[in-house]
Amino acid sequence: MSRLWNFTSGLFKSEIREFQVMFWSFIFPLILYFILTSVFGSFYGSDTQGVSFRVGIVREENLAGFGKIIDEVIEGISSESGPFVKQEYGSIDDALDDLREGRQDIVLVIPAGTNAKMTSALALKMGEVPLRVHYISGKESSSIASSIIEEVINEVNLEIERRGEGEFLDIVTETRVISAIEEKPFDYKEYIFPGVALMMILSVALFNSPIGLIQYRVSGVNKKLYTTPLRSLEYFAGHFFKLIITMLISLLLLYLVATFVYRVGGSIFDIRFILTLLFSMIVTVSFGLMIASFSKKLSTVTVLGQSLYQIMMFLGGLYFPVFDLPWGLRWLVYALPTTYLVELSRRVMGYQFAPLSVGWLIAVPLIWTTFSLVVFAVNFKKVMGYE
Amino acid sequence: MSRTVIEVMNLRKYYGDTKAVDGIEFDLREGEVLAILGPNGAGKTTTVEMLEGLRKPDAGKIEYFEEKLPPSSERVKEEIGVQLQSSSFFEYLSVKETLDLFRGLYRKSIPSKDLIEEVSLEDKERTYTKNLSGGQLQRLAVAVALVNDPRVVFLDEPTTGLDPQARRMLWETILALKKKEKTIILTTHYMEEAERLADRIIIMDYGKIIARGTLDELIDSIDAENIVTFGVQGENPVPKEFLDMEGLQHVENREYSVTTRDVERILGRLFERSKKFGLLLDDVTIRKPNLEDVFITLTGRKLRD
Repeated sequence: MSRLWNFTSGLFKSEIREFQVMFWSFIFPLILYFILTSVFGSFYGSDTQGVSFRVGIVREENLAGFGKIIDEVIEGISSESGPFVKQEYGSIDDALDDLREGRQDIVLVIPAGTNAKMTSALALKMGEVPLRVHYISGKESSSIASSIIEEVINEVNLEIERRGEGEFLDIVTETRVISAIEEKPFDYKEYIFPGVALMMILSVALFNSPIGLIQYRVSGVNKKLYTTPLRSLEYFAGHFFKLIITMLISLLLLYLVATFVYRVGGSIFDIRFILTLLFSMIVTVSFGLMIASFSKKLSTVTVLGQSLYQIMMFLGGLYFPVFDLPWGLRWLVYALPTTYLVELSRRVMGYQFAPLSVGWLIAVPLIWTTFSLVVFAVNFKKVMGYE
Repeated sequence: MSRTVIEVMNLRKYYGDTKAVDGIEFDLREGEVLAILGPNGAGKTTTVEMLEGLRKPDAGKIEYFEEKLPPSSERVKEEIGVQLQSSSFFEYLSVKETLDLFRGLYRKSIPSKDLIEEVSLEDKERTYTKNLSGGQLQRLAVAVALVNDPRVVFLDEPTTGLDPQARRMLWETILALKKKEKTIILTTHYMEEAERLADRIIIMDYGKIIARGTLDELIDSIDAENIVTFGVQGENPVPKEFLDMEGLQHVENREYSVTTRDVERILGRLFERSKKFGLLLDDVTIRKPNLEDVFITLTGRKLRD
C-alpha cells in the first residue's frame, strides 16, 4: 500500500507542478464558470414566447354530439398557429410514461362519460364537464402548458356563454401532478454548475490521463519503472488515484467559487449530486484510458483527446440543451456518455431536459465504462508495453 | 570460487530477418564487472534488456541466482538496479524526490542523502530533473539504479554523450561500486571504459559473441606484441598490390595498421613497398595493442564504424 501511495504522490506532484496541468485543470474551469454566468446568466428566464408545447391526448371515450366542441378546441390549439403539438394515445399509461420521460409537456385526458356530461351541461344547464390534465410540477414547460390549457378551457366556456346568450357550459380542468419536483425558479448559475464540473472532470480524464500515460511511455519513464518491482496494476492504480485527486481538488475550487461567489447551494451538496460527480469521474477516466490504448504517439493521443473533448463538451449538453438538434447530430448526442452524466446531475437538481429515464442515464455511462475498460485491457499491452 | 549470479544460455532475439541477438551464452559471477563491448547495433542493449526483463527472448534461457529465477520474477526485480541507455525521469520532481519515489518501490533501500553524495549531486538535490545537464542526469540514473542496494547493477552505455570530465566522474562512481563488490554488467562502445572498469569483457558483433575473456586474454588472442599504424599521403587510390601485405588492416580513410611481433621486419617491408609503389607514408607509429585492435583484427572494422 505504501508503494502505491508513494508512487501516486510522486506522479501527482510531478504533474501538478506543470503550468499547463495547473491552468487547464484548476484555473480555466473557474474562468469559464465566470464567463458563462456573466454572459448567459441574464439570458435565461421564464420567457417562453414562441415556444410550442407537446400535449398527449388520451380519449377514454370518443366524442360525439355536443362533445365535438371539445374536439374543435383541441384542433384549434394544436393547429399550425396554436401553441400545442398534439399526439393521440391509446392508453393513459403510455401517455404518462412519455410525460415522465419528457416526451410530452402535459397529458389531456377526456374521461369516460364526457359526451353525457356535455349534453347534460348544455341541454339541462347543469353539472360540470371535467377534463383531466396531468403535468409535472417543477418542470417549467409542463407547468406553463397546464396553465395555458386551463386558460383555453375558460375562454371556451365564456365563448359558449356569450354566443349562446345565456347558454351555460362549465368545462373544468382537474390538474394532476405526475411527479412532484420541488418548484423553484430557474437559476443559470446552478444550471451551469454540473456542466462546468463535468468539463473539469473531462479535461483531466481526456488530457492529463492519456497524454500522461503516452508521454511516460515515449519519454522512457515507463521503461525505467518496468525494471522495478512496481506491478502493472499498481502502475495504473497510481495513475487513477492521481487523476481522482486532481479532479477532487479541481472540484473543491469550483465548489468554493460557486458557494461563496455565486451563492449556489442546496442541490450541489446533495449526496446524490456528489455521487453523480464521482460516477462521472470513473466513466470519463475509463474513457481516457481507452483513448490512450489506441495511441502509440503523443500527437495521436493529443488529437484524439482534443477532438473527443470538444465533441463531448458541446454535444453532450454541458452548456446548453441539445435534444432539439437535427437528427444527424442528435444520434451523436445520444451516443455520448456526457449527455447522460450531465443530465443525471441536473436531474438531481430538479431539472429535466432529456426525454430519458434515470435508468438510462445510469445504464449508458455504465455500458461505456465497461466497453472502455475492456478495450483498454485488450489494447494496453500492445500500446503501453515496451516491446 | 564466487557464486554464479546470472547464467545465459543460447539466448536469441530476432526482429524479422534481423538477428539482434543470435545464440549467445555467458555467465556472471558475484562481485564481477562484465563489460559487453561492441559497435552500435551489435546487440548489447537487446541482450541487457532481456536480462533486465524488459524484452522477452525468442529462445534461450536466463537464470538468476542459485534459485534459477527468470528476469521477470519480483525477487529478481528487488535485487537488480538498472541504469538505462537514455535516462528519463519525472520532469517536475527534484533529484531527492525522484530518489525517494524509486526508493518507495523497493522493500529495502539506501537513504537518498547517501546516494546523492555517492554521485556528487549535493548541490542539485532540490533541482527538478528537467533542469539537469546530461552528465548530471546520467549520475542521477546511476543513483536511481542503486536505490535498492542491488546485488546486480546494469549500466547501459552510462557515459555515452558525456564530456570527458563527466565521463571520468562517472567512472569514479562505478569504480567505487566495484570496490563494494557489486556485480556489474556494463555495456559500452568505449574501449577505454571497458579496459579501465571491467574484470571480463565480451565483444559482440551482429548479435554474436565474437570474443570473450580478460583484457590480457583478449589482447593475447590477436597474437601481437605491437601495432604499427601509418597513413598514406596523396589523393590517388592506394594500389591493391601495396595493400596485399600480411596482417594489414584498413583503419579509416587512408589509415592502416599492422599487428606484429617483429616490428623491424614490418617497418622494413613497409618502406620498401612504399618506395616501389611511389607512395609517401606519414604518422608512422608503433604502440602496444588495445581492445580496439582486438576488434579490428576480429571484424576488420573500427569499433565506432
